[in-house]
Amino acid sequence: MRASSTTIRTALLVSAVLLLEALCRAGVISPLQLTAPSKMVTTLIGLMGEAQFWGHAIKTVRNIFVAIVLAAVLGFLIGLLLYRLPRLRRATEPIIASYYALPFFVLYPLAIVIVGMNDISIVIMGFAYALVAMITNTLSGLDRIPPVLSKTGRSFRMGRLQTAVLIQLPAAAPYLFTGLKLVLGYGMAGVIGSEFILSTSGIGYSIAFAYEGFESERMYGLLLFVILMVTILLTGVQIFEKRSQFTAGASWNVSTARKITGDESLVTRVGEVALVVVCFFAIWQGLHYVVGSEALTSPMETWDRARTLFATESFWGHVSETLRALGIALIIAIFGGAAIGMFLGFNRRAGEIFAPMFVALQSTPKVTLYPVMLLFFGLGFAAKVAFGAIHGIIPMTLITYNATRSINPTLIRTAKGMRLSLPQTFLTIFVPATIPELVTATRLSFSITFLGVMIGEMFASVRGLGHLIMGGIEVNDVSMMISITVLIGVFAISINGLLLSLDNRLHRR
Amino acid sequence: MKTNPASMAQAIETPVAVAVKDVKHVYGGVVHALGPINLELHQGEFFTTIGPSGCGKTTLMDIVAGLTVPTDGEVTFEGNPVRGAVPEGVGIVFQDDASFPWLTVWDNIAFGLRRQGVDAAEIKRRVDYAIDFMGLKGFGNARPSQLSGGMRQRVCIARTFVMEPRLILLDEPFGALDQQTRFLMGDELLRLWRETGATVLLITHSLDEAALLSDRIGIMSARPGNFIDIVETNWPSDRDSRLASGEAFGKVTSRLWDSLRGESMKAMGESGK
Repeated sequence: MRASSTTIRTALLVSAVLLLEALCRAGVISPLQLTAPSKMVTTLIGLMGEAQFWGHAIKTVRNIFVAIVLAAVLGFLIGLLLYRLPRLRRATEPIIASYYALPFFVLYPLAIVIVGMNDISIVIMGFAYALVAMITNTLSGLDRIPPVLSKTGRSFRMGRLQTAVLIQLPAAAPYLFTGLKLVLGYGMAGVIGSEFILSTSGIGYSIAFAYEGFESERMYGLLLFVILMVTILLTGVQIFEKRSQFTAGASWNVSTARKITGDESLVTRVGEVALVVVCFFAIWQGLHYVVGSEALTSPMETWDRARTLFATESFWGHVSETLRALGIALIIAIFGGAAIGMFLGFNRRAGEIFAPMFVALQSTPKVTLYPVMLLFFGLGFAAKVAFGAIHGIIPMTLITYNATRSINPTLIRTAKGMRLSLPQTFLTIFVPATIPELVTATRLSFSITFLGVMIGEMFASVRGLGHLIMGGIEVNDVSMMISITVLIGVFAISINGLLLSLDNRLHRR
Repeated sequence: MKTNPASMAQAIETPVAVAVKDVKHVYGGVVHALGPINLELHQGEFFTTIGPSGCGKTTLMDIVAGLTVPTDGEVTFEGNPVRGAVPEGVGIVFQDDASFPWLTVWDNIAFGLRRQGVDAAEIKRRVDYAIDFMGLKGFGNARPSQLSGGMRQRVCIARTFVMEPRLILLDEPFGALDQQTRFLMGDELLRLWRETGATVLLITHSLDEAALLSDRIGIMSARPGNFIDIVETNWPSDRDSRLASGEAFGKVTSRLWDSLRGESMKAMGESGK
């Protein structure tokens, strides 16, 4: 009898931990870089005896809880609204798609000015980071409800509300659960990340404090706590999901149920985008009036600052530094992720063992791993490339894996029937069959890699756009901060818009 | 097996259940899918519509069901106009799997009855009976994902029949099943039909299925769909799939194919363009 994948996975994890333990004890890995796993546990147990630790922990858990509940509920409602208003949805789609490429930490000063430097601003950060994940998953869930189920509702003479509660909600539930899991991951990343970078309390702050004070052991003890917290919360959602029994129907064809955006004329579409742009500037201007130039400069002030900024040569040095880091990180993330994903997809056994690990990594707040990266790569270019790449490689791997797994087996048998060689099969069957999903993966991975690089630059670099933004935050040069953020936003949204239209075109086939 | 000479006379005497008057449907102002078409279904009649792909069979069914409002014309059920909502007393079985994956087989079948506020004891009686009748015994607590395609479709049929509808609309309910299973499911359908005395409108691609099950068969033309021929089978009401081995059955299917062949070629030519 062959051992189950879960058993093998557990065995692999246990041996990896044991290997680390051995390497640390033997002195191969310096204690300054990594603490032995047993030491992490004892440190954490020691920490748990401190009242101060619990003060930070309770604060963090409470903030996470409030942020994720708000994000889940409002994200669901906004998703529902966008589903009902397809034109609004189409116009806002590139913004939603590029959302996770924006270095959202620049919103923090704004949040502080609006609500003050307290827990509410931390909650806002977690909420803002998690919200869009819920919106997009609500939309995918609603898109994928087979039309026949709604027809069935009508055939039983059910009203709109009854259909929504008794048919649409449970039918979309598997996607809502996926959304909830992502909300959990992003909410934690938002809260702990904000604490890490910009706060004076909470677990994130404690990690940063330990890192800065060279208290490696303490830092790893705290990281272990974060990992335990993620695991417990995710397991909780998974148990709830299992018990509620909302599984997708066996015959629902997910890939063909994709919603295709309409074919309105170019004029209509340009008009819609123009409307969104106008609204954006109106909100910006309005917010500026409310909070004043200290928190948010007006569009005009920002434009003036941007012009002088763009005229300096050193600015373009920073731009090219960021682009270079992004380029290398993207190459690692996209090609590495595609290769790992395909390997796991073809090799069933390997897929069953390793894919769940990538799923778990996907929902770990990677911001907290940043100190670990720094300890290994040092301050500078390598660290930010590595940070960008680990962000991007995970979604790339997972989507490629799923795409490879879901290739129609008849196509593979057709290739065998035509006696195609392995490279021929790969080029003529696998690549064209998975390419639409690979484009989707590239798009998502672009956004998240970009965010990774930006965060890397913001907190451990002396060059690049992220560093400039951080400088802006420190000396309170709001107009510079905002001009760079807008520049990054325009860049991210443009690339995303291009990839999105390619994505839609490929999925229409 | 005896034939049923009374069926013609009966069809004329029994009241009209469904009347389709000059119904025409155009999709998006461009695709003329259906009609103008006319049809009368008599109470307790088993009527089947057959036709080439894309001839508007499903559109016709959706209009009769009240799921689609026709561009032109009128449909009445028991004398009352049908427009934009499914009337009380109508049950529909769809082509696609419409079982609710989050409910057990038992809860799936009870779904409509619960919406209607039928009391618990009566729901239990009807659902248990349907589970027995449809050969789902022992699967009441299973979920649709644990069943085969054929069993899932039986769940959907049971879910519709427990409502005891007076008009049953079936859109290729056995489309996904193999031929043998289709015949056996057809027998079950006939049994249910005899037991409830409901009027049935069935849509199918299968000549055999149409010939076997129906009192009358309406053959539809390529798009825009309309009836080019209506064939009466004169089968006895206690018929079953054993008919398929008889000589009369072959005559009906060959007549159906004679009418349908030209239309199917037209439909193929159009899609090949």
